[in-house]
Amino acid sequence: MAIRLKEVDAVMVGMGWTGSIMARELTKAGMTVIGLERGEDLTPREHFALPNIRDELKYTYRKELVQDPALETLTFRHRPSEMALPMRRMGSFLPGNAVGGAANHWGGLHWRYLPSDHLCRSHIVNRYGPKAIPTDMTIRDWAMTYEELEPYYDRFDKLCGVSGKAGNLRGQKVSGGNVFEGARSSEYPNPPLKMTESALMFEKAAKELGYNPFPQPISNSSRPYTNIEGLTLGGCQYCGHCDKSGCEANAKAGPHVCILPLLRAEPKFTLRARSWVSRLVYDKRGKKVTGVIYTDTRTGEEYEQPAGIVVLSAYVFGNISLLFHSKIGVPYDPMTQKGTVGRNYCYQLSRMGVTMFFENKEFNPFMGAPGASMALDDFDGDNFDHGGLGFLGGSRFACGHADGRPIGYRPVPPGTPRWGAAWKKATAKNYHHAASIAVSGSNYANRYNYLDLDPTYRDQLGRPLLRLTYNFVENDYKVMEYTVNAAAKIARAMNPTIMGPARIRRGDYDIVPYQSTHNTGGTVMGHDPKTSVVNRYLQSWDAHNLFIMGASTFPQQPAYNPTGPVGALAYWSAEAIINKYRKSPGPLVHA
Amino acid sequence: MGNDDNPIPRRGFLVGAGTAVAASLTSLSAEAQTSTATATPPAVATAAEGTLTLTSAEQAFFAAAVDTIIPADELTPSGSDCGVVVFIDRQLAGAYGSGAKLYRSGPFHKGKPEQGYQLPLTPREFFAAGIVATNAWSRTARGKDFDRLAPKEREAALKELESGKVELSDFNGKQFFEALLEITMEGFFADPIYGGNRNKAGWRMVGYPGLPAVYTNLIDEYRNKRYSVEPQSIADFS
Amino acid sequence: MHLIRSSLLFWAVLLAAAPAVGADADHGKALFQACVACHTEKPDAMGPSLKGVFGRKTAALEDFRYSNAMKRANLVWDEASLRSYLVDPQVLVKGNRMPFSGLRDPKDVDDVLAYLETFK
Repeated sequence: MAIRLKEVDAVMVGMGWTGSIMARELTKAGMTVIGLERGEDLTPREHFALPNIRDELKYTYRKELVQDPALETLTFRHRPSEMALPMRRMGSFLPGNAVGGAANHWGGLHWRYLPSDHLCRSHIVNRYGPKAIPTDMTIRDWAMTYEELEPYYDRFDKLCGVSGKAGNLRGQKVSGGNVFEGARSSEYPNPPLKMTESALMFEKAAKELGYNPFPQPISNSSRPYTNIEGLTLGGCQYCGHCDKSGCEANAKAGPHVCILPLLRAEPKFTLRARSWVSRLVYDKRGKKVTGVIYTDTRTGEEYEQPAGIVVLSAYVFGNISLLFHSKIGVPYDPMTQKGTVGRNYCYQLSRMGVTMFFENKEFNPFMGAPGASMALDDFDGDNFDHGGLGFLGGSRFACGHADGRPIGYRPVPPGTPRWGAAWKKATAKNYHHAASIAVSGSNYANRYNYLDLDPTYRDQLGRPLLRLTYNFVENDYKVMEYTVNAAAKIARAMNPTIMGPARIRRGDYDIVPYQSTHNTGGTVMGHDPKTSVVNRYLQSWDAHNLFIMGASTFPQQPAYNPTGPVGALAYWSAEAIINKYRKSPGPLVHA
Repeated sequence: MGNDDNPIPRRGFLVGAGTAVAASLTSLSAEAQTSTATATPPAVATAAEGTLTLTSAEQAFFAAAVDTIIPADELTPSGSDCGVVVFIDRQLAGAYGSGAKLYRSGPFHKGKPEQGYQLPLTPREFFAAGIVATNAWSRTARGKDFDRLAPKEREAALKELESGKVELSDFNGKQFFEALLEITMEGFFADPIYGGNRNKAGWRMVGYPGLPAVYTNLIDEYRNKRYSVEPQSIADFS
Repeated sequence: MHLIRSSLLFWAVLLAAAPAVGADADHGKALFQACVACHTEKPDAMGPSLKGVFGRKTAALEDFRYSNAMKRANLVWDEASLRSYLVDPQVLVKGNRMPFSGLRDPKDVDDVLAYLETFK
């Protein structure tokens, strides 16, 4: 029997970006908040400091900051007719395992989605007609427009100290920035990072071809920056370890740098690490939740934490599985397309691009950061005419050096053996001379890509694992083919000594190699409770005091990485709770 | 023994002869240091190195395998002289080898390659089973355990495993080869605190400077210019 | 006479220890923002407190766990040592853990030193 604790105003399930933002906003509004986090507590001083933070084996290969699949993983199959098997090792995506969440080891790529991404379905219908959308493609509009969300995008930018260059300032196009982006109310908080030599070569070649390269927007501060909370970030050191490690210079934005020092000092806030929420307590008739049940992972003791508001702020998979375990909402069925929980699962097309070798260039590939690169959006979203192309969506390109860590970064020209004397020679010769254009593509929802509960495999608490049914579909293959070939054209214009083959993915989705921690959907937002899990304020249709954060609310995934809108939506939802819900608790949208 | 002595032929001889007593090899001098960053000094063991978990047959297998994957040449000493077998021994004896961060609940089914690793074995057990299967195949195909083959034969055997055309008894030879290649590369390029990449030989080979990696000024100052320094490891900051 | 000589010596010592004439502590304060993310004066800060750093011995604070390199350094933080440390932290105390690329402009170093001197 769970030990019942004293009720609080709100409880956060997960203390990454969204749990931290929400806890901060609600405590500022006078509410008492408890933050529950399954993993351990970390501090930058103890866990992100030199010299041990510079350990490629520990962070990239032994996945120090990544969720332990022995506690909870998911099962995976390509199609509903197959048997799903557990993902026994983390590979394709790497959720976080501690206070700070995946933001502890994120690369910092910080985007806003395009206005047309917010209106995905209606934009396509308006431009190409309803027949342009394949029958099984279940894309739809977001529940709020870019313009509505802009002030919250802006706020999150200023929390993180994003470095970049605006391309559209209050409707005025600005040269040097991303000409395709939606209007910004203000310039980036910090100027772009320094560019690597490879980035500058890419910029030159892309411009000569008539494209519009711009500096990669990044949540690494290019200079010391004091954020809207009064906390100071350091300047980026270009260490080349960003994407799998914590930041030793406090330059990479994350809850530990941008919010948590204030929450830790806040009397209305309590942080409980090693507290694994197993389910929400659901009052179906009352259409509300009354709290959460969690296990203290140090003792195994079970607790009930009653709360006026429950915020699901775990990773995408944690949010979805908690709805299933708590029997909130109707599970999605791909055959009937009825039900909502688990639908519109999307990912991101990655591991694509072109590698080039330049005999007379010296790149020092270990100096850099994901933001020390030039990006290009000409082949992204609907920034190019899809008429006659036979697919929807696109890819963003980037070129720079960010991770010259040698276990993983060992570029060699095509035809080189993978070991032995010839491999050694080629590796030694090419390490300093290679550069790549990376291509990441959109992934539009399909009726057969979804999540439900596995009938066989269980997690450490004895609950069924989530089951992922997912594969690429024809639209994805066409996006990959078209956009990688476009990137290869820029690569040729960079005039390399040797050009590697265009890496276009064919064949089924593979859950083994790392691709990106940008899983989306499963608890999607919308205007209709029959096809969505949350309304435009991220409030559950099935429990009015339950709010669901994060990328699990996205109906489909553009080529961009999701953290920008994830942060913006947390602020948007927090404001709705404080200004609307608290005054009159109940559904904020009537269906 | 001074820096002029080259330990490589001697070790190669001993391992080739099936002598797996690494400790006898390691009463060599303290670390070899050179004043220039670009030269590759011979890697020399700094202390006696017993094994934590590997049996003598396993140790001999790994030495033969990593020396085939990373042969001694003008770029670096051999894989085992760079400490890669020590690295593997420590990895397999520790949390990783025991199955840390591995979901190990059954039932176990073969699955498709895209569903990933599905065996009930920990990495320690996986390598043990793979070595037994590889040696059995080696005896059938070539009359000897893998570590007793001549270097050319070892190379041919690894190529066959890599190609996926070999059927080991009850074991996936291609999967075993991929795991062997991965842990060898980890040992060759990971920070030397783990026992491999001895004297930073892997880092020197490619020109990776290691720590402290603070490049805010240097990224401009070395634009399109080789940054070449004596590499430093975590131990140098500890 | 004796008195004058002592007093001259006093001034000479003081000048040697002080940042260059014309140093701009306000500009130093602006540059010091690069340090503030870690040297926050809070208990869980990544870097040690810099209050009274001028004249302090290396690794002197009890509430900060210094690197072994810093513990072995056995220096006094005076103008010369701080100057070297700010230009390239790895020259004077090789193997220390401060992740800072260094100040390249000598005037910037003067200004930061002038600002650090105001820390009491």
